[in-house]
Amino acid sequence: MTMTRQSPLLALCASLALGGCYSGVHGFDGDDPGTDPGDEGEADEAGDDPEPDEPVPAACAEGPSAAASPMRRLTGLEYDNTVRDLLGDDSQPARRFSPDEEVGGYAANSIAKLSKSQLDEYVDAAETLAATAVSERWDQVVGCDAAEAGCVEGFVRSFGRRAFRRPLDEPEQADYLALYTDAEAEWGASEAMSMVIQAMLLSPGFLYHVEPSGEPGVALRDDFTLASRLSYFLWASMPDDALLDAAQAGELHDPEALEQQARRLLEDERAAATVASFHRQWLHLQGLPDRVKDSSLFPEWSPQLGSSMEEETLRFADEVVRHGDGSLQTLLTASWTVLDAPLAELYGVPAPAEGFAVTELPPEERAGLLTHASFLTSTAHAAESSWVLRGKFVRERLLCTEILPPPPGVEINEVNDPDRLGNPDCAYCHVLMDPIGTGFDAYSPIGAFGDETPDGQPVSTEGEVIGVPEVGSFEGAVQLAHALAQTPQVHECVAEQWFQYGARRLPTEADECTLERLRADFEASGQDIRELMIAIATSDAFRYQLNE
Amino acid sequence: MTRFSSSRRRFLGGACASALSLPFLSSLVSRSVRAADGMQAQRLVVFFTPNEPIDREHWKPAGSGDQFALTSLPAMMSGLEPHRQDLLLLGDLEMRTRDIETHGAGHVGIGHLLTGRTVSPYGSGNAEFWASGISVDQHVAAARGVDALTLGARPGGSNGNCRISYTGANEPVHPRTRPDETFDSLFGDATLPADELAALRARRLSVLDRVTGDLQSLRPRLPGEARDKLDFHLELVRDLEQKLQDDTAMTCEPSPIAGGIDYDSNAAFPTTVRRQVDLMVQALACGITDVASLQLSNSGAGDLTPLWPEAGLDLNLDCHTIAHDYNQNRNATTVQRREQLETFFFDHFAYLLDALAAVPEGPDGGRMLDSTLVLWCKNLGYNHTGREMLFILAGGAGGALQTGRFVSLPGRSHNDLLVSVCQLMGLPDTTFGDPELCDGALPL
Repeated sequence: MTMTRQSPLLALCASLALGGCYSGVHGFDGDDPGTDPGDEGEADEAGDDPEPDEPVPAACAEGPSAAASPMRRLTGLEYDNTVRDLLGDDSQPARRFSPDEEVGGYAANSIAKLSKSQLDEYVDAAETLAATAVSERWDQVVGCDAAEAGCVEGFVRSFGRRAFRRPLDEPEQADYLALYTDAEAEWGASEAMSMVIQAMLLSPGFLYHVEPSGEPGVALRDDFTLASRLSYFLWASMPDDALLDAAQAGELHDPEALEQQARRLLEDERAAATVASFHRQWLHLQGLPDRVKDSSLFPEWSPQLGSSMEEETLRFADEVVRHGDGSLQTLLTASWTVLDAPLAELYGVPAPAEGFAVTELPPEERAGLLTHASFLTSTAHAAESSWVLRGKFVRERLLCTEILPPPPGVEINEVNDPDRLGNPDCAYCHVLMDPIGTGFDAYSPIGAFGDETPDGQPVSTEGEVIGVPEVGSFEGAVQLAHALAQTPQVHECVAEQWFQYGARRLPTEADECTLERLRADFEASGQDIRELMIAIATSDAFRYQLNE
Repeated sequence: MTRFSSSRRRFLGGACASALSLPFLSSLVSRSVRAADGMQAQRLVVFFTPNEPIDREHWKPAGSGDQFALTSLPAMMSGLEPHRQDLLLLGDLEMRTRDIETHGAGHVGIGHLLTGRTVSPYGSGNAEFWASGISVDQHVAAARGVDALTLGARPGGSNGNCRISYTGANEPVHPRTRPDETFDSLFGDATLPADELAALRARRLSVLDRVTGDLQSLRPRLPGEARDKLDFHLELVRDLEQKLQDDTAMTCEPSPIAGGIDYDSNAAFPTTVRRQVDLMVQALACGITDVASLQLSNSGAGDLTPLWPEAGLDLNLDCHTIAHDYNQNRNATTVQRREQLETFFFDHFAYLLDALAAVPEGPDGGRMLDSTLVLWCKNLGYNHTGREMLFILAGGAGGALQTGRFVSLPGRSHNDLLVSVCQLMGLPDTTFGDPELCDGALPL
């Protein structure tokens, strides 16, 4: 991964030196696609032939390329979903684990080594999960009498295949059987079975996404690795038996079969987890209930309202992506949402009869995610909205322009300061953010709409997205949202954000072919998020690996 | 070989005391430890609080010159008055790492603080970095052959802005945040009957043995960085197995930490800090470890809000904003808030020193504090920079440290303080972290 790091000192000039503040577009050098590591090695496959009527992106001309991918540990969400699917246990132990490490703002667990406290967490969780499984769910998890001939052997094989997402070889099966046999002699069948389950839950094959390596060069990933990547991307959980069977039959290295499986997984209810997880991270929804707001200005603020806000956005995203038109435009411009009674009051619309329901909003006040209370609340301080945070989100998460941190020694002032843009130490970066943030001034720090000051003066909502001609100047967030929804840079950025979420790493030069195809496909589909997910799941970056 | 127990300790004597505050400590008697030759501290405690200690006007004690005996303490440290003679206020150090750091903004100093090195970014954004080397607490622990006890109160997420302790580059040690659970894992098994405990240990060893087998057979089949991760994981599993086999008795009666409190919450923060101190002091006094750290919040404390009326603080503003308001918008209100907040943090440092002082040591009325070196630290100096940094050393360090003083060492590198900490612990290090930034131990 390469990132252009501009020295902040270079950027001390009063003119609009855009090149001084941000770390390139799309977060990497953006220079020539670079050499294809496939030049030196061999690809196991001839490579994916593009559709005959599609131009081959230049970066794809040399055949599939792949980036090195550090080995990742299960995220907290993946752990919880996996034990749910493996054991029928929905106790969600990972909610008490140490938090996930993030790369590019998406949970990755790919860099730091395991910490001692984390091992202890896994050990404790495995003991509890296994004990519960044998005492409460024996039929569901084991499904036979341990005294029966072949029961334990069969369990080791079938449960093991599901726990490790691949078949166990003979020596492994023998080892687990030996564990059972020795333990059963001392402590009985129930305890022994519990120990087998514990050991599997603590095995690296369970805790890490193990992807076998091979001869140096670019190679198609093996079927079980593909199955795992598919299910963990689309379900944030383990493959089901049908997917494992397809892997076992060697079907998944056929791109069409892989796509078929991807579409099957996307139609499954379990895909809701991925849609929710992506939006939660993309929109920085974590910690909403813990936000502190000025209680005299916002007496209606409470942790429960924060929870409702998070739920609104996740339900809305789910409604659009999995039940609606799946369109990015709808996500960014819809004048409806999915809300409950407290939110209805905040938005000034009639409350639903009960719970959460799809509700129309005034289109002159609301347009998609950028006017959701969740976004507006998380980009505001206790008593004041934040031009910087709102502008920064648009730059980083909708335009993929990473803003560098303030240079050392510069005073940080966490208030909306109109003089900042006149200060050469600050302007070169803040010109990218503050003028966007001002356009949101009709929305309070908890997202209520108010376009008049207390003494009846109109609130100024003028803003500008400098450097993006398709948007330029705008008035108010609704106009901004509609303009951004039509902007190609936003489409490309959202495609890249989904890619980053799925790959759990930053994009590199080796991904340029994949990214070009993703951008083209996303454009051709009219920015269909579902098709984007399928395209990522079947992309070269997902199918091929770089063996070093 | 590590000496850090979970299940193996058995207690001599009966039921644990139920008191949760200081009185229980009289039942703990610290192991009598004196170095055979030379003076050095027997244990190290690191105590971290966020941001900077306001500014020099606030932290410099009354007195003239660069070194003088403490006759009084600054107002925000008034809670430390009973321990004035135990303190060495060390002022005006510089974080030279900040001068050569290319990553990030003001808060990156937390990654330098105990490591003395610039950080290693791994992702995008300010917080996606880890420190590039071992931290002084882990270094001392490794030299002593003990497992450091790494605790936190609302330390925040897994990123560089929220971690102070590392066993090496990209090896953050995540703090334990729930003192009741940590108590159980340190002391809990020992309350089981001996035969049950033996059976539980034997089963755990069997399971871990199988896990070790899987780790060993997988590691050679994976490329370099994956193999490194598994090797590290394998070492942790081996350490755990070793502890399960260790069988030393302990001569103390620890007091359980009450459950039923959401120790991770903002509301419980003052309680969490005190219970973590209680836990830490018990662990030290019982000889479970010689090295411990307690991290209060993280480098910015934007996720900490002092809504703690029972602690005399009721500010509906996060700690990061309170610090910035003082720097950028000084008026009577912002000054008062800033002082109240920092006083709160110093009061909790006093709670730690009280607890260490309350454990008797040796036959001559000594205190565990006398043979301990306590490092009080923050990640920032003047106005969010690495300039004019204040550090506090507390405790007798086994006679190696002369306390009750203020010492100003303008221009000296904070790396050199880390060197001094090592030497006060009896280690021979003459550099720590980036050797280019070291001149040698400080003249303390």
